Amino acid sequence: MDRWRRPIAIARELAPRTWPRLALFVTLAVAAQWVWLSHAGSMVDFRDAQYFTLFEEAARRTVAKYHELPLWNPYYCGGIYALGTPSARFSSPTFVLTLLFGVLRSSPLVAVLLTVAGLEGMYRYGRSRGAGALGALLAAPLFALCGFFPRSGSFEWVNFFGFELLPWAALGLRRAFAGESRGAVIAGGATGLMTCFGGTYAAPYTLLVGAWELAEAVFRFRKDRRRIVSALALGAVAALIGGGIAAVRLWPIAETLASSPRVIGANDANAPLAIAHMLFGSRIPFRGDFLVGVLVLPLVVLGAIGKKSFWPVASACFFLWLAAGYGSNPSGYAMLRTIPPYTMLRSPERFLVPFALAYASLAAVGFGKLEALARRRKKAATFIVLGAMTLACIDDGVLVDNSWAWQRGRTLMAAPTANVGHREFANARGNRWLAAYYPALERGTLSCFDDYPIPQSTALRGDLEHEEYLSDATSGTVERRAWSPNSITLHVEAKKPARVIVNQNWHPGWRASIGTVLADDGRLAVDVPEGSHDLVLRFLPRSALGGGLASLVALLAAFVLWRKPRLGHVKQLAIAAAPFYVIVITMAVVSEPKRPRPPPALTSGEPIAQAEPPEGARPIGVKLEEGIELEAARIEVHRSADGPMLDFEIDWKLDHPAPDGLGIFVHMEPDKGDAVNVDHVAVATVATFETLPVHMTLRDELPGIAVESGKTYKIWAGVWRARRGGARLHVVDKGTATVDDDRVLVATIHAP
Amino acid sequence: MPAVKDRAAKIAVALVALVAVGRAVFATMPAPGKPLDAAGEHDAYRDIVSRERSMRREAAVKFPGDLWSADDDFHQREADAMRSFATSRTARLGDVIRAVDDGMHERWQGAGQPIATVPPCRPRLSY
Repeated sequence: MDRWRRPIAIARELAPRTWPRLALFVTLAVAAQWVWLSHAGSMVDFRDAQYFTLFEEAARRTVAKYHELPLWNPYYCGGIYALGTPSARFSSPTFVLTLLFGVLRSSPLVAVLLTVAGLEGMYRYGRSRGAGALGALLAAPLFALCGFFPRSGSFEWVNFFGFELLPWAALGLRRAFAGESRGAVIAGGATGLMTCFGGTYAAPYTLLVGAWELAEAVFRFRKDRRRIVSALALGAVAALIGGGIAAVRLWPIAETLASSPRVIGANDANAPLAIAHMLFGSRIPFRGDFLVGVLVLPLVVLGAIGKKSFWPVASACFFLWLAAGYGSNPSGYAMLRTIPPYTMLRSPERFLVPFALAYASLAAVGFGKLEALARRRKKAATFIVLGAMTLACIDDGVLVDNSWAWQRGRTLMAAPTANVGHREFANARGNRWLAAYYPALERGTLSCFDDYPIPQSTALRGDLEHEEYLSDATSGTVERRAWSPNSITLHVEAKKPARVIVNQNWHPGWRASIGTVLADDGRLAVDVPEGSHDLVLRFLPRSALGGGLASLVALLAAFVLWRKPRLGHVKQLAIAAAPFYVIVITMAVVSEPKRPRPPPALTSGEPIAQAEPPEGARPIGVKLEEGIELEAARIEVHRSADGPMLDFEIDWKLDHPAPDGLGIFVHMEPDKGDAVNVDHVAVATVATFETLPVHMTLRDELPGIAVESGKTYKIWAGVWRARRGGARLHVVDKGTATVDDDRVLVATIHAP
Repeated sequence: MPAVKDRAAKIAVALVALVAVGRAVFATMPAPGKPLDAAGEHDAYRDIVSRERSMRREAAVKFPGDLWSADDDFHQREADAMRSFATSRTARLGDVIRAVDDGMHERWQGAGQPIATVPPCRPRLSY
């Protein structure tokens, strides 16, 4: 019997000891990322990998080559605010690895580091939920190696590894709500770090996990008002520390998204069976986008039994419900998408990550219960525990195998290389599908993508002889003297007052040594007086300055709170709020123009909202729900050198302000061949209904639609709840129009 | 005894971390291909740019009325063309990309006039 007990005894002895446990976790993390490590330095052949790599490489070049902080990224979209790019990860400590090893070689090392953090965090969180050391040790990989992470890695979505800090945030909050002020520092630190790591999803999801922890604490202390107040105070401290540490990113990102709101995410729905496949796989070998493994399910079920497990079970069910997206009725996801910042999120299946947190903690607790049960049946005890350990170890092996499968499934290509010698920066037309190649060529790519409407000038060109020039060539000359991402030095000889144009996007954070900085058709420009000038343009936005200082102060505040855990709550709150004093002072002292929202205008420059439909428009007069009228349509066919084209316009009118989340569908049904959809969420692809005025004609103009010669098209249009479940708005008064299934026939045309 | 075990564990952590770093640093990459010579660069430019008009037309049919999506679809086709050119010459993809850019900046003679502007990024609801 002893030889069977021996492995259990060794595991029980080592599990609670930090260094032996870490040795195991580091080995497990390296094993899980081994295939990725073995191909470090290669580029993943996937579109998102291109721009994620570019974000990190642009920051690396800015620091390593130009010795500047990565504030402005000139290599993408004609220039974007690097700190305001939501999914960029360079503003976290892992950037040191990027500087040491390069972007592509550091990616798997970052994954290893964060996987270790996830394993240790999950172990500690499991312990805080009452699990024994051995159970928590065995269950930790269920979260930290869950299928979401290798899947993200295989697409180079390295920023999603920020989710590995979720157990730390949950643990910190749990301890904070129990009255331990260091818990607030842990929670704030973890949340701040994941935000700086590009945690566009991780941070908002952490808020939900935190809400569950708070609800549990309030319920637990419902008869002790003092402890509830303490929990709320320390929760606020955690939020302030987290927000403060992340200020260097949150402020710039908030500015970016305020001027360019993220309108994305349709009617994602996941059926229960699809969710089960994602979590457990469907056949051997087990594979899954969010694989947690089915072998430990008996332990999870055992862990779920009993009053003490109510809260983790409830949170697991809550996140499963959210993961179903619009597929559940009522849909929690639909409700959540009405609350900022969740309005901007998509892919509800990602809620399976916090589900994995609850799953792993239940498995850990279940293992402890099994150990307790086994003690009553001494003869069988050893084999029951050994059997459970074996199952858990096999499940961990399944997760490692799933990681390898994702990593082997990638198509790899050579890393971006170029032999260009010294080359001056210029913007190229570029190509976002190969975006990562451009920084090495010292080129910016104008062609770009991110999942928000990037403020980008349409006047930028990828074929200019000089990147800086005068708008009126007869007014003088401009010569570039020095260039770096955040600073451009020019020598201007102006025979008269002149406008210097820089072939990059304008941003309010650009300042000039002389003259006035302004946006010229969205481009960066400076009006300079007559004469000979050395003009220096520098990029230092207020939010970078204030946010950076606030983050430093937050780190200092976190240090103080860690060292002085016995301070009263008022003092703790005052210290934790210190970063926000910095923000307020910066806002008061440093002035900066606001970035205006793009005006709702057609490509011709005319406003979208006009008094009446344009000349030649045919009245339709169909009324839909929500006070929306399809007022008129103007559809003209003409031949171009490339074939027949439609100039297409339908005109809408609002009786009262439109609700959020509507979209316009247009179905072009030819007499032969496949139908073509011209669905769009913004009127004229510029402004959503809810942002447009009432009682005006809203011109939904879509010029230059290519159609196929010789076909006759029936064109149907209507409105649907594009970001709110997908139902069409009903037609309430069709007038004389032809209506079918809540869509209106706006024209029948023949393409010559 | 526990201290000895801890020391052994620390050494194990350091060794495994070292193995990971070593693996990442010395991992081999796919070969980048041969450098393109000047003639090859001009060939690349002509080959890619001559197809631009038809690729844009196909993209416009696929994404009617959506300027950014149509342009983006064109760029996907252009990227495929650049890759296939690089593969056919066993050339470095970076050199083909640079050739297209150099050709546009230096106005090389090709079989068409590439459009040098792009519509601003307006992502679709879902992908």
